[in-house]
Amino acid sequence: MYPCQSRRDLLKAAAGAYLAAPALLRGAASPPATTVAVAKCPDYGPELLPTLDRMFDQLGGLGRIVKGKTVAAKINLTGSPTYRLGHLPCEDTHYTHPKVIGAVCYLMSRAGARRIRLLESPWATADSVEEYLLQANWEPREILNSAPNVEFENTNFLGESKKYARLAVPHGGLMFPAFDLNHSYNDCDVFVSLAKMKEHATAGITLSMKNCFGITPATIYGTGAGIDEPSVLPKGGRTIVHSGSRQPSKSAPGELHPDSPREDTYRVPRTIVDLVSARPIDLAIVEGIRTMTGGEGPWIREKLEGVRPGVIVAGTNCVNIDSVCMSVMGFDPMADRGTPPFEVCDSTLRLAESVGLGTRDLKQIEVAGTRIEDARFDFATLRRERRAKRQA
Amino acid sequence: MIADWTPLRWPDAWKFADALDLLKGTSINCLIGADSAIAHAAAPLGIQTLAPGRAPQGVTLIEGVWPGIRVARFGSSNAFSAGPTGDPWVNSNIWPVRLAQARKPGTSVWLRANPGNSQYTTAIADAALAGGRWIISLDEALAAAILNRKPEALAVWKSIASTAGYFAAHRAWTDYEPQAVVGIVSAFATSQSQEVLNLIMRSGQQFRAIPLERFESVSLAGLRAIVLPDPDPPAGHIRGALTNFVTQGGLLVAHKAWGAPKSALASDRSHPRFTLLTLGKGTLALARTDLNDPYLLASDTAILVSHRYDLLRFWNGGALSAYYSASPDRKRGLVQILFYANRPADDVTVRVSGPYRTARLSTLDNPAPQPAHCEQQPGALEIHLPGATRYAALELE
Repeated sequence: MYPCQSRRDLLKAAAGAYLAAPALLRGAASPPATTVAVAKCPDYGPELLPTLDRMFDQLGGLGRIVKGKTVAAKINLTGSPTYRLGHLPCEDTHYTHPKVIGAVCYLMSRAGARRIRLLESPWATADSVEEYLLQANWEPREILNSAPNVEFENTNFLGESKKYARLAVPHGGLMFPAFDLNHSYNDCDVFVSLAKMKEHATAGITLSMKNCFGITPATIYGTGAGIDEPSVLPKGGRTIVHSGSRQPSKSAPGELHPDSPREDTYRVPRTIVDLVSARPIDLAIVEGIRTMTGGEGPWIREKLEGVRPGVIVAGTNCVNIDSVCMSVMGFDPMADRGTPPFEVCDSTLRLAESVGLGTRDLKQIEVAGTRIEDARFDFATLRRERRAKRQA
Repeated sequence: MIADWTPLRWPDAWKFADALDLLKGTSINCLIGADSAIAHAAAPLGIQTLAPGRAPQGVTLIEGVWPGIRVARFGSSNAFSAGPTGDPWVNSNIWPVRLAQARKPGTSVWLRANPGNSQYTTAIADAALAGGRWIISLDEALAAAILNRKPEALAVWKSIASTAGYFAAHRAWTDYEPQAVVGIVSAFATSQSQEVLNLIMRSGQQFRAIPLERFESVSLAGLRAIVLPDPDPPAGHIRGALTNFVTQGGLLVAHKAWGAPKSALASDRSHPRFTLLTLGKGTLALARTDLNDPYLLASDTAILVSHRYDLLRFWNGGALSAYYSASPDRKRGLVQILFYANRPADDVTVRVSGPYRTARLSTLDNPAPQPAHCEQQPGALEIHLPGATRYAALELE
């Protein structure tokens, strides 16, 4: 279990981080480098399951991660289920595809997972995830029946627990020292980020780390969050974190630096790093079989397009895997603010590396399976061409 | 009986009978408030004249609102990246028309509403979607400009006439029967119970209003759920029929005053605001507190019933109203959709639950039905609508 931390623990962690972060930056310790599996997978048909199975083998086997464990997997269902890019189904553009979710559940169950909990904080609702999926035209039973002991929980509010779980940021935090989250992120042995490969209007890219931005409950961090205590029902998006227009509910830890820039391009990457530090990702799977270019969802004011990169990337270190994903997408994972895809924002990867979560240096990351060059789908060139056209 | 009427409130600015020339080629056949000279001139043209506040026999006259978007419930604070916006609030006359029809089946419903902006086609379509008729009422400045043959005003008048003509040409649709999942049983004597009707419609649930006084002559067949928004439980015979509805597999959403029957068992489902009991094959959902929030009741009903049974699902629809009906022989379905936003909705997809395999689309701009792009799904048809339309009718077979 991931223990709830006391105020004393929080202070200790903060002090530790103060000392530890500069040490990392001086190069006294190298951020972790692990193996990342890359595979081509042209579609969501029969080839999907053996492809994922092979990838997990390349990572040392799924059993060593999930056997006998309660697994919590954060899926990506960003935005309202009633938004589509054109007439394309949500799963073909910006939602983690249900076939991938089902296949991963099946494989984890087969590898001995005791309980598999699929988590998401659906847009502005306390309704069950199953009801949300139905509105997207999915049949939740297909996922629930993919393995025994699969269940969903809406983590956008208190849910079925009596209190929120406080998860501290071990390095002290770039934006927040700790988060109050739905209990599900604490009551698990293994945490999986099951993400979609996309660009992102605010954070440049959304991969395994950015997927975890959605673990924050809107009742505390959202538009309609209570001032003193969390609201009962979630309303709207996570504007508190985006814009910094106000602090989270007072019951939760506030910002470390309320005088820091009130710009989402500064705040969101740092908050993501704090979140994946507080709730470490044990396994990350980024699905880019079908996805979209131009942004994270159909509401983005860009020239958006549904595409079929036909690629899956998986690994156990979120910075390593996101670095490989960036390269697969044609971006340089060493890029920083001012360079695509971070033209106007800070690099979540650089920030994550700076606090010791993992390296983004591809020379240090072992890639198993398909070579990056062979898996590449060039989001970067499409982005450059799109922006050149817009300027013209 | 649905009377074949297209009523117009005669504008004060139209003082002389030569203004009747403007009605040539239109479906307008009833004038409200025209003076005797104009009435005399109108009669040979087959146009009837009525005094204000009067309606022909078989017509129920109701007060309406000017339909359209009112205010945003939530807004995005970050125009570029903060995510999709929430649902806008829409004023619509569809539910009052349907309530009036439920109270007096077989009659026509006319509604009065003064113009609030230039969206006349929306006002006509909003009333006509469920078979009602807005008494066409022109802003006086517009009426004067039309009379003076100002080109912009004449263009508006042309769109008004063509929209009214479209619905007059489809009067057979008024015989179609509503397809519904939820029935709302009430005296509808309070604004609260009427607001439940409004908000159940706004939440996209296909419903039937069942006035208490007509309960015995109404079939509950096809409904999955009944909602009782009134605090007092209904009389014994109605209670018996509703209990039977539950034991046969239905869901009843009621105040706690309904009481838990001795034979009811605790359900394995739970809900934060309702006690769920199993009764026979169905479920009794008894509110734990007063049902004094119509918005919450409408939202809770959608979840208690489950979106699995949505008759219509929309993507990219924005602010819209939709009405799903079927021909009396149930061989043909009809989905009418009205979009309220000023900017046309693009790339709208609708999933229609039912046994249909093809769809033909007509709009106010293109009234001749054309085959629509469809994808067959289990038990449903997904239809892709082209952009740039304010109203769409999908005829399903």
